[in-house]
Amino acid sequence: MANEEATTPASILTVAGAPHWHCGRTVSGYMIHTILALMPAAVMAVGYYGIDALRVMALSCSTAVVVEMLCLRAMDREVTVDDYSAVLTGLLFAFLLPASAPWWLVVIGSAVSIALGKMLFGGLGGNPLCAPLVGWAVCRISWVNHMDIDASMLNTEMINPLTQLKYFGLAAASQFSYSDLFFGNQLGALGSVQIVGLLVGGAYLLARRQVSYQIPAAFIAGLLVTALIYYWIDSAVYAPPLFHLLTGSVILGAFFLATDTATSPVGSTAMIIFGLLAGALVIIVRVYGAYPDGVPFAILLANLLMPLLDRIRPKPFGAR
Amino acid sequence: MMKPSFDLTSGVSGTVQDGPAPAEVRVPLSGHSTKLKKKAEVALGAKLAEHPDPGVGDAHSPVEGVVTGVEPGYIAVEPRSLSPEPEPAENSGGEEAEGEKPKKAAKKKVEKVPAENIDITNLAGDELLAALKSLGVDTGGFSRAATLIINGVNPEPGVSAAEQILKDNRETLEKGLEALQKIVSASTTALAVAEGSGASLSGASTAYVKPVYPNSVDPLVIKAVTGRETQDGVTVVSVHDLYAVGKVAETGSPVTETIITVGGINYLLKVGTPVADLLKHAGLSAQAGDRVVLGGPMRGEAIYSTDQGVGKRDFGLCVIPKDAFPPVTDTACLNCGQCVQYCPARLMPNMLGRFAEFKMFAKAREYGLDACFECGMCGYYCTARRPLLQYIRLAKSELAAMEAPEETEAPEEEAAA
Repeated sequence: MANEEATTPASILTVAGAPHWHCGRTVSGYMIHTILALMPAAVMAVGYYGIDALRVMALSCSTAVVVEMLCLRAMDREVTVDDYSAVLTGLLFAFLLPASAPWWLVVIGSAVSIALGKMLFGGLGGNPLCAPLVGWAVCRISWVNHMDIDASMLNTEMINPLTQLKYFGLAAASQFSYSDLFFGNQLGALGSVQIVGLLVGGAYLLARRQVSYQIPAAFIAGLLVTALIYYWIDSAVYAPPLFHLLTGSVILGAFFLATDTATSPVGSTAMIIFGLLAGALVIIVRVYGAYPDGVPFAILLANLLMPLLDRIRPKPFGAR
Repeated sequence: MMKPSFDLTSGVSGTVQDGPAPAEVRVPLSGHSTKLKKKAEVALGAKLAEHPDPGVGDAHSPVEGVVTGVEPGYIAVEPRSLSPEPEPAENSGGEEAEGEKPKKAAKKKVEKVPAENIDITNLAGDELLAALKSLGVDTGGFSRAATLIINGVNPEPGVSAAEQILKDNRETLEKGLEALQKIVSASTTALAVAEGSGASLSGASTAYVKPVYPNSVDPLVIKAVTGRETQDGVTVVSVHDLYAVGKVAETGSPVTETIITVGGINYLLKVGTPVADLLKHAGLSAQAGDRVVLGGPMRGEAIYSTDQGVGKRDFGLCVIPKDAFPPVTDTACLNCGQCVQYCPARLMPNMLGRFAEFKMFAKAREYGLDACFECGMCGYYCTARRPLLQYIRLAKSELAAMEAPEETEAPEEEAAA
């Protein structure tokens, strides 16, 4: 039509579907902020374990990125390592390792986390099990001695409260003051015992509304209640609930592992049940299981239940 | 990056400003059929095109002038004062030549009669409906119901046209309500307004709605007013549409104007005013790559050319800069659950989007696809920046397309058998 000369020639407008506003969140933003939330704990880890911790974290993250890139190339897909999800998986896996883990353990574990825990299932969003935990579980069972914190961390004077509890009873575990536990003055995996740092990070994620309160709150509640029940049954044998809360990977699990987006349910009720279940399972594994710390296994078991829990959803608007 | 707000209160205090005087109006058509040709002369309020659907209003000229273009999407009319003696129109049938000049008077007569003769029988209701449609009102949403709700909440963030109309045009709205009641015959009538608003209409009780998007969406307004989630037996009409009915009832002339919020100010515009003229008048500009959205930022339609004319049911216009927000991607769903948290219909938009992506439309229906209000909250909060609302609309349209042919095929099967 003759009217076209009225249009400014440079104005090619974007025609896209509604809505035309967006909250500003992106996948890479989400990952970066989660990594940022882990930084206080990472700094504390380096403080306690020295350059070893830095080595493990760096190796784990870089292996994760390289393996993800290779997997995506092999799958003939666009390489999306710039969304930082591989870095996050690597960092979380590093947090679960002993600081003195040998390089091959870090590399294999990180590679398995990415390849088996995530890429095999289609990439980000497709994994049924929390990726760093898959790598951890494979390593824990295959190389028991290297993953055993007490056996491998011989260059430190700190003591692992959970092994004390399991093998030497409650009396031995009582030597820890809560403030010691809180500030990371305990032997454990690289990052998971830096309780105060992890709590700061968790609070940051909650404040940014990146993580809904339901899963961490339910996880901690489930853990405390189950521990309380055991404590009431026999307080001479079972540790008090706060002890269980401040040891092992509980806080890491509550805020960073159980809340992994692809493996946790989305409905509010489902999230609460998921958290309660995982929290209770932690204590069950700690009391009856062969391993001192039950958090990774508990979360993995809860992940398996996630599809079933997602069926718990309210009726849609207007449905009878 | 823009930080949008979902606040629906506008505190509108000014009056409606005049819109620009365009050099050419382009009255939008959507499925209308016309017999007009170029160079036809039309009076103010002359019928330009008819729509075959009885629920969609016909198109009329908002200016006195000459038709300069007839396209499937619009009819362009150039405003020109015509001499009092009717000039013979070229080629096209004698109907236009006779009908155009006295159309206004004839329309007035045609309109006045149904308005006065409306009684309570159904037949009169249909006559009124037909008369309203003929005068350009979209009557598709005016169905008989026990409850009539006038949605007076600003429909989207940044739009204050609803509050403006409520503030300035109470009498017109009440006339419109009278006429509407003859079609809807509701026993309960309510006007839904934002909390803190002092607006009211005689003939309707006032109900208050928290003025935060998406509370202005019709199903949520129904829930706020009736307390129930069902839409059966309830008809909702926006004040924008009620205003059109009111104007028609008052003057007998067809719908040729609309009130649009641009940049926080309400303008009274002729239908068909080119968006480019309106943008310039309001002091906005659209650069390459920007989105120009007719309607609101959450549910509106991005237009492809600023030559387009505004429609009679448009209530807002905004320009969204190119890099204001992260771009839409086809990243896989993270299952972060943000959309589930914010969906007002209690659906799982993440699953609906995934089903639509993989063409499992029937499964999407099982997950409550039909309950979706299309408010756009899921797409707003999606971390992976997936076009969730588009996926949901795709699923709805695919399901409708799959079901529509079945209705025509069944009789053939019976005939064959």
